[in-house]
Amino acid sequence: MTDLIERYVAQVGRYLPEKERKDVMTELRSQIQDQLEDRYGKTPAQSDISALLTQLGAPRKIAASYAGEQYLVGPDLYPPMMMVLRGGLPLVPGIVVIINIVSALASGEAGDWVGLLIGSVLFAFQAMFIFAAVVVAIFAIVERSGETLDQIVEPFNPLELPEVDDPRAVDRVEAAFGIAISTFVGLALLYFLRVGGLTLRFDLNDPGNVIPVPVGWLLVLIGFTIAMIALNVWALLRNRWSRWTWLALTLLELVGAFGMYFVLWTPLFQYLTEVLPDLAARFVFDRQPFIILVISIGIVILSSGRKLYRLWRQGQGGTLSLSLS
Amino acid sequence: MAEIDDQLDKLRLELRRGIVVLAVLSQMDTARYGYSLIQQLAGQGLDIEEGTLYPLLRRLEQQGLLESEWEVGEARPRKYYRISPAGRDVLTTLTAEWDQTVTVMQRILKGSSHD
Repeated sequence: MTDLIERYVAQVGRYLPEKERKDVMTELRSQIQDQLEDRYGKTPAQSDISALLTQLGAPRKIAASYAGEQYLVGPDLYPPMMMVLRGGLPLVPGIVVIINIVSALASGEAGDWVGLLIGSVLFAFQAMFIFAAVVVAIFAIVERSGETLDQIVEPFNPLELPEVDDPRAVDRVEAAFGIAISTFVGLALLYFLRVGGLTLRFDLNDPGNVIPVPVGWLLVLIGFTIAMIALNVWALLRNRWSRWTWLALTLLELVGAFGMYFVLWTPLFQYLTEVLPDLAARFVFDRQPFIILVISIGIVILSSGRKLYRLWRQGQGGTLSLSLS
Repeated sequence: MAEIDDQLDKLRLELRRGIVVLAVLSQMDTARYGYSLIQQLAGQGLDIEEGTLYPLLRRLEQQGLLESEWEVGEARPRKYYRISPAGRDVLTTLTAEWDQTVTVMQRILKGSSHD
């Protein structure tokens, strides 16, 4: 009799937290024995015990009842997390395939197209898993900081809801896209930091030809990328941008453009000038990084400037109805 | 049909969830151990599964609504639970809520049957 009960209780204990394991196990054991005695007397048959334990349920389920509801990402954060995954995941394979093909072309291994295709597909799968894991981890961390989050996030006030065409409104696809891209860039930058420079071969054991880059700027870019993810998650949770958060994002993008100039474009074109001198002479490679920097800054100003201007006007008691009320 | 039964089971579970807490608190003026409480409630017509009740007792204790004490002098060690002062306050409030809910629901359900 004891054996089967002990085995059951021990299994339940396996799933319980250490600090209450002993107490729950002792209590459960005595509860089972009480029940057995009441139903089948002092010497129940093995089949009686088995029937009772079956009725009690699988050890995993009983242990779960003691633990209460537990989840990695709760119902509050699940919808924005799914939005980021839905927005970001489809982009990952495309980006990966492009990187792989460019990498193959740059290293002169493009001849083996079948190998390149298989490599790209495998790499794409790997990248999608990493992306999904990182996104879930980010939201799980936000979930764990739930109590502090409740204190920081302002209580819901319907009057604060953004107007339909309000610049404060968060374009959820845009925010999800921002988080997806930033996560991907952040991972790539961490990889570059680990292997000591730029490379298109994403293999820690064999990073291939590594182009050295300024570590200081690389660290700045990694910090900025994390800040961008945080700002986008923050805006998604609050469901609105403020002029300060949008200004911060715009500044991060602007300084990020300079970071890319030093970390990516300059070393890359220097390298290309060395390996492809003929092409470099024809396309003036030494000026390309500067041109890309100017274009990047232009894109940031064009894409973020209008919203920033509208947010600022609104903040100064502009024309929107909310500020008049 | 099985789908409707499943849904019905879930709805029944939701409906009972709050009632069970009230029922348990109402019986804890006397110190009781898990199985004796199950019998006590069953005797009055409320069947609760062991897998539901045992964890619930611990949760109510963690919330400060019940107090517990191990009794080791018997045939086997038993954990006895009893309502705490905070639990008694909660019980009073919940009982008033319950009375009001029953009145309102009877009115609503009666009303809907005449529509």
